[in-house]
Formats: sequence, structure tokens, C-alpha cells
Amino acid sequence: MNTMKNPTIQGLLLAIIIFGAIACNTYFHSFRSNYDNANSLIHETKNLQTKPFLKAHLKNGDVCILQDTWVIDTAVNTVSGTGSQFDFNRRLVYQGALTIQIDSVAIFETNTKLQNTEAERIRALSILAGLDLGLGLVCISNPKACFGSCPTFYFDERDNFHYADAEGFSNAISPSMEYFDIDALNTKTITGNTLDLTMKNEALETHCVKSVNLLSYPIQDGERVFQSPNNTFYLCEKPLELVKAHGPEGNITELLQKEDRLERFSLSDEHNLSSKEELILDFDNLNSSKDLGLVLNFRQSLMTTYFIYSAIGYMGDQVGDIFAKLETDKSAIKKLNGGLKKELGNVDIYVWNESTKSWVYQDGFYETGPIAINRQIIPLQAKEKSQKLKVKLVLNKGLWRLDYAAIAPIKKEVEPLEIQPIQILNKGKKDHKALTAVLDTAKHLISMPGDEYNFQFRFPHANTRYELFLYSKGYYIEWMRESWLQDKNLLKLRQLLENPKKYLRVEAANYKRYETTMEQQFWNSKVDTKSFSYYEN
Amino acid sequence: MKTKLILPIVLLLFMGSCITPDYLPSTSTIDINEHGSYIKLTNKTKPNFNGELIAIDTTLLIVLNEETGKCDTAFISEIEYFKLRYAKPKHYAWTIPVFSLLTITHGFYALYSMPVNLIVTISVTVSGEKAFQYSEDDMTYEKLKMFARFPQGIPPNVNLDTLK
Repeated sequence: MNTMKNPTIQGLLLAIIIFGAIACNTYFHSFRSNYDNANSLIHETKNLQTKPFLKAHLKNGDVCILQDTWVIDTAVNTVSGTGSQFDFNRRLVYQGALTIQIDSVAIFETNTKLQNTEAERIRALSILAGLDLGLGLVCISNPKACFGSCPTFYFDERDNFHYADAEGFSNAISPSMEYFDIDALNTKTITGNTLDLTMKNEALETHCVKSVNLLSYPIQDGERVFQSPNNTFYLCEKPLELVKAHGPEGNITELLQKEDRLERFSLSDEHNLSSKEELILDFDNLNSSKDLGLVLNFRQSLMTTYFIYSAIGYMGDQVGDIFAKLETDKSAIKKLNGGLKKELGNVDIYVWNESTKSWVYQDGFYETGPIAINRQIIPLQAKEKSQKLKVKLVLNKGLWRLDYAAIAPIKKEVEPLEIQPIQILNKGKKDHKALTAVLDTAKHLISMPGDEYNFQFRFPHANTRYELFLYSKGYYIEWMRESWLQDKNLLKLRQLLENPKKYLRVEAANYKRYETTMEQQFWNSKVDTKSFSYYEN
Repeated sequence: MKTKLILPIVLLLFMGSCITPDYLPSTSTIDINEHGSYIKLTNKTKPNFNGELIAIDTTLLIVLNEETGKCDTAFISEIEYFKLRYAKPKHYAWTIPVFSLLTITHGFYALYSMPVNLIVTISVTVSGEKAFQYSEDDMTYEKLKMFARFPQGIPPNVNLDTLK
């Protein structure tokens, strides 16, 4: 069942079906017939509604080709009609009315017209062209769904964006918005003392990368290190899984119990894109005397990507001017962060206080980007130690995809070791310039669409298990698509920046149209057969 | 590096196979063509040759060699295999780069749509190039006679040296 959902398999099946249609196209030699004598020719062609052209191969090597009006006169033993006569070297010797003595003919030949010989091939190409154009049109009209954003990082360079281990600085869409981003990379045992990480530019963007470092902390069996939204790192005991979870749709325990990339998500509100929803998580058997933290694996849907692309589209041909203004006017960036981002909100965490019978706000998770899954922790400020814990998540409908929620007993706060790359390979060759660029804080490594850089890091100890995090800093510049120029709407841009509440209501219908088509297709193409564990990829 | 070379190599191969003799008819003029079909012979011991199929008798096959312009003969027992083309194929090699380029508009989905496009367009191109062909698997030498310039055999008055 799952195999059939794999888009690669679906694509190959489609190709096989189309190929099968082509391969069935075979013609046999039955289109040509030879007759040793006139009688058999008359016999075989007498019932035909339309006579075929007739070739008479003469005994002297000439050939006469008669149009479909030829007749055989058995009384005088001739075949006559209009046509052409060629000599044995196939030079035209006569054209017009021909009368041939049957005795001079060695062999008669007829051919059935070959019809629709290319039909299957043209059909296959037409189906393919239709699918290509359809997908192309959808992508051009909704580029948010087909083109990614920000640099993606992979331990296995053969992986595609569905398996990105991290994505860097997703919010930094202009130089002035440059910031550093820390993403959890899971645990890894470093058997030698080096580790490779590939950075890809898989979008129509220019990536300007200032730093790519690893943050690492050695761990023992059963230990994990989680990062909080404000980048504090906590060494934790093995997380305890939730016993029950439910949302507006009902029981979602199975979706959140394991790190299996089976995510819980919802569709946006058709009337208001900032509508919120609540999820309730129940934990039991919390025997630990330690402080507890809520671990959440999450990423965004394509909603924020849609807003970024829409904003650029609204700028139309003034995109350069507006971005130039952004560079000099910090208030515009404040408006972006304080307006739309605030309106959409975090994944806010509350804990139930049994004695006051009320929900107590803890903190919120937020990380932009729809590709890599973020793994973060929020330490809970529960005053009472109890076996049971009830947690409420309040989140924007249609904005978040949640994979896993657990409670981790916190041992202590730790400081991971920062490791800089020792070497960068570009197409398999050492790229000293790239290395200099990421090590020099005044420079940027410029990565263009399709570029891949392999970063090599050296660890202080071999054969050690580390919890790893990626520290990336930089910004990216979205390439303006021609189709976006038509979307120019400065009033809408102003509304997005200054009145996000209204914008999110007005834009709901447009987003909904996009969401029901591309959002679903995008995530359906997720290859879900690959699994990973807590402790090793 | 290797993967980048595949497409140009495939294209070059197809471009090479695009060359077909002028005397071959299109599918619509197959019934008014005065020449024999084009045949490629792979011989067991003799050098291989190709050209217009002139005639076949019980033991010999005569071909107007495309390279030398002279008639060459081959004993049927000495022929390892043959490929006969009786009409000009339609060429679809152009679809490989054109359809592949189309997938650029698919963004992330090009990861899936490009291989599908390559499979289909290469299949269509190969199938187009292989159309209107027969080999020894499809027909006997007796039937092959029908595709010769002289299906009746070499006329007694015709000297092979004078054939063009």
C-alpha cells in the first residue's frame, strides 16, 4: 500500500504504462503481398472495396507502378492503367497510360496503406506533454508549492529534500535579515573522527552563507541533548512517550507517539488563516524527580512559504526598490516579524495545574521552514511533581506539522562544542575559496541553484556518540519569477505588513484554493518508507 | 560527471541513427516506391555491409552496397543476422531535451518528473527509430524476397555490375 504511494514508484508505473502503449505498436509484413500470376491477383483483390496500387515486376527487371484504377483484361491477357514505368536501375522511363502484357510480368505486388503508424507514440507524448504542462502550470501559478527555500543540509548527499536533515536561515530573505539558525541533527556515532555534511541549493535562489558549523555534545546510552527555542541546550534522559493525544479531529495518539515522520496536521480555516486550534497531550508514569521538558518534533506547512512568495509577488517590478528600502529601513523588518509572524503565532505550550484547575502558559515553539523537521525542548515550570501530566498545544490551523511529542527528564544545561569545517568539497574537489568564505566572518559563500558543497568536520574524539546540531548563518535572495510580476499589488503588500489580521482573513479563500491542491500533492509525494531511530540514522 | 555525459551520448546515438537512405519511402508512399528496402547484414566471416536489397535466391542474397556503390553478395548460410528497414522512421530525439527542459518548471517535482520524462521520451525515440524494421526473428528469407528490388530474382538480362 505504502509502496504505491511512493511518487517514484507512481512515476515509474506511469512511464511503464506509456512505454507499454508504445511497445505494443508492431507492424507485420502482411501489408505487402506478392502474386506469381494474374489469377491469384484477381482472386485476392476482387472483394476489396478500394483497389491497392499495383506493382508489376517485369521479367526484364523493369517495374510498373499502376494507380488504383488498374484493370486486368483476361481476353487479351493484359493489365492496364495509369502509372509509371522504371527500368532495372529505377530510372523513370515512362509515365502515363500503361498496358502491360501479363506474360511479361514476373511478379505482381500490392501494398496495404500503413495508417496511424505513429498514433501510439504521439499518444504517449501527448499524455506526457499534458501532464508536464499541467504540473508546470500549477507550479507557475503556485510556485510556493514547487520551489523550495533556503539551503538544505544532508548527511547522505543522495537524499532529496524530503529527507533534509536541516534547513538553514529560512526567514532571511534579504541581507539585512541575516541571522543564525540552529537545527537539531539527531545523534550520530563518529567512528573515525570526521563527518561529512552536504549543503544543497535546490531552489531558484541565491544563497549567501556566512557560517556552517556543527555543535556537538558527547552522550552516553539513553541520553539526549535537546535545544530550546532560545538555543539553550539540555542534557536529558531518554524521553517518555505520551499515552494519549487528541485534537479537534479525534484521537491522534499514534501520529505523535513515535518519531516516524507520520505527521499530524490540519487544513487552514477557510474564513481566517489565523484561526487557532488546541491539542491535548496526556503523559503518565512520570517517575523522574528531575525537571521535565516537552520535546516536540515539528515543521511548518507551506503556509509561510506562500506568504513570502505572495509578498514578493505583490512587489511586482518594484521588488528591487522595496528590498533596497528594507536594507535601510529596519522598521519594515520589525513590521514583518511583529505583524504577520505574531499573528500566526507559535506552537504555544500550556500545562494543566490541577490545584488551580487552569492552564499555565510555558513557552512557544517557532521555526520557519517546511522541509526539515525541528526537534526542540521547552522546560516545563510545573510546580507540583506528579505521575501524570496534561499538556495543551495551541497552534495556528494549517500552519504546523507535528511528528512527535514526548516528555524528557532534564539532567542539566550543557554547552555544546562548536566545530568549524576543515575542508569543503565542490564537485568532489577541494574548494579553498569556499572554505575561506565560511571561516571568514566578513565573507559569504555564494551558492547558486543546483550547487552542492560537501563540508567535512573533524571531531576531537573518535568512536564517540554525539548529539549534533547545525549552526548556519546567512541569507538568501529569492529569484523573481516572470509570472510574479503580474501579481503586483502594493495595497495588498501594505495590508500584509500593516494589517495582517485583515490580510489573513481576506487571503483565506486564495490560500485555501492553493492548499487543497498543491499542499496535498506536495506532501503526498513524501517518501515515507524510510525510518530512523532516536540513536542512529 | 558520468550522468552529465549520458544525455549528450544518447542524443548523439540517436542523431547518428537518424540517417536513412533517400530511396526509402515514407509510410504514406510505401506502395509506390520502386526500390528495394534497406538492409544491414552482419556476416559470420565476411565483413558486414549494408545497402539496397536487390534480390534473394535460395542460397544468395545480393545487396547494392551503400559505401562502394557495387553489388555485394552473401551466402545466406554465412549471414549471422540482418536488419531490414522498409520505410523512413519518424525521429523523436528532439523530445528528449525539450521534455526534459519542460520539467524545470516543476520545481521539486522535477526529481520525479524528469526521470519519467526521460524514460518516456527515450522509449518513444527508440521505438520510433526501430519502427518499420524487420530482423531474422520476424521473417524468413523466403518472405524477405518481397522487399527486394527484384523479388522475382535477378533478371537474366541484368548485369549486376551495371546496377545503380
